[in-house]
Amino acid sequence: MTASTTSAPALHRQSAALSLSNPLAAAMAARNVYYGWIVAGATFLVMLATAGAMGAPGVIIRPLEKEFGWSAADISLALAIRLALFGMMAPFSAAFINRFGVRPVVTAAVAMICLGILASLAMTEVWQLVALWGVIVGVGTGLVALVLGATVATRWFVERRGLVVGMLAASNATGQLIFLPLLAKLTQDYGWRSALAFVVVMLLAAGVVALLVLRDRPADVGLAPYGARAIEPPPNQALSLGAMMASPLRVLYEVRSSRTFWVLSATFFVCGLSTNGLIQTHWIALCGDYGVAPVAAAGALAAIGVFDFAGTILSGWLSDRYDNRWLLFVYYGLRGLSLIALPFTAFSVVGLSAFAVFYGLDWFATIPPTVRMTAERFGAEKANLTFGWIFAAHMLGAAVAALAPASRAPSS
Amino acid sequence: MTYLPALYVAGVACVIAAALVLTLARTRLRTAAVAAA
Repeated sequence: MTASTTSAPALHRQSAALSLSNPLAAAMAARNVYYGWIVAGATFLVMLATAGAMGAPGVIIRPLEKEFGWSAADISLALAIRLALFGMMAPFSAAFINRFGVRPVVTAAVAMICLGILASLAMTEVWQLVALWGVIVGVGTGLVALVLGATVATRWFVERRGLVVGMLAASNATGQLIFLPLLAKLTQDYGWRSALAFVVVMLLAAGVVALLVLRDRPADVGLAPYGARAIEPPPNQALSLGAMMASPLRVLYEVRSSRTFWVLSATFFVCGLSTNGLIQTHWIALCGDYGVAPVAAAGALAAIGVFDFAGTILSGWLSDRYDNRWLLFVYYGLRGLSLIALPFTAFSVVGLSAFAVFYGLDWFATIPPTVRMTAERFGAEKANLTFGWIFAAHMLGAAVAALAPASRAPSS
Repeated sequence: MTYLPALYVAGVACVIAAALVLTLARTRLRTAAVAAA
């Protein structure tokens, strides 16, 4: 079954036949609970699990170096490709979701990530790492990144939309970090393959929940968006696949001369470089240079994930109340100073803890002001696709930083 | 200490990004938008 040969309505019908959504929505309505919260919860789980897969390579760099004798440059290339594809998929994942529906795209993405990871358990050559982790996992995770969260929040919620966007963005960022201590422990005790097997189990569990409860729109279960009165009929899906796929490129052409677009893209490039690229990918190896054990280093990353969850939601609240430029100025400025100060802490327990708290609060706090400024400057019609490109810049920055320290010699 | 230059480069890039966002026009706050409406 390919995207080009299966019609969107057919996929929607097949998708609905497997769903528990109608009886569940009726049961929830009887208890006066809005079904959109279930959809948001399932989306949260999917984003958390796929983000866990995104973060996993941080703990397997050193084991791969040791087992196969691959250089850090080889491994970094695969991880950089993964990060770049994760970002470049963002504008197109919106097009796929619009054309085929949320559930088919989520199911395909989870299946793709699981297959990529499972196949990587048997890899022996570095090109297989590039193909499996770089390309397959990169595309799969890119399909269910922040655009999925933005789509679900926008379709199902009018009131509390900002809160839902913040929570889903936080789940994506936090999921990349919070599983790291467990994955590091599994790697240390049972080998890197056991850590990846755990990631697959987590993904399958989230995928099953998504398959059972996700629906495209509130109208699919006879509801209006939360905070709205009228049930909104689904839009006409007569657009051809080609036209749908061209829409991100059309929007990119339209915003090409906007200074705001380029400044937000450039600053988001730096955001990705300093979070996913440098710290998330290289933190454990970086701490190793200073004599910090992998499990302890992974613990600090998980702490960043915990504080990030609060920081991203708090930032969403602040972005409604204060000038977003100044919020970004504070976030980027303090992040820069903390990176410059980090080596002076000598990576002591106190120093690492302080860095984890501070960097965690700041980690993806940049997302809500950037999304808000994008929506304000480019309007609701173009906001998602424009943000998709800005997010692509974020992940390109991450890819550059993932690749940059690649000249480091492999550890013995 | 192979990561030291990368930390400094990222740190300086963040400081430059902080300055860059201030060159954009001021954002409209929700309270201002509500008042205007």
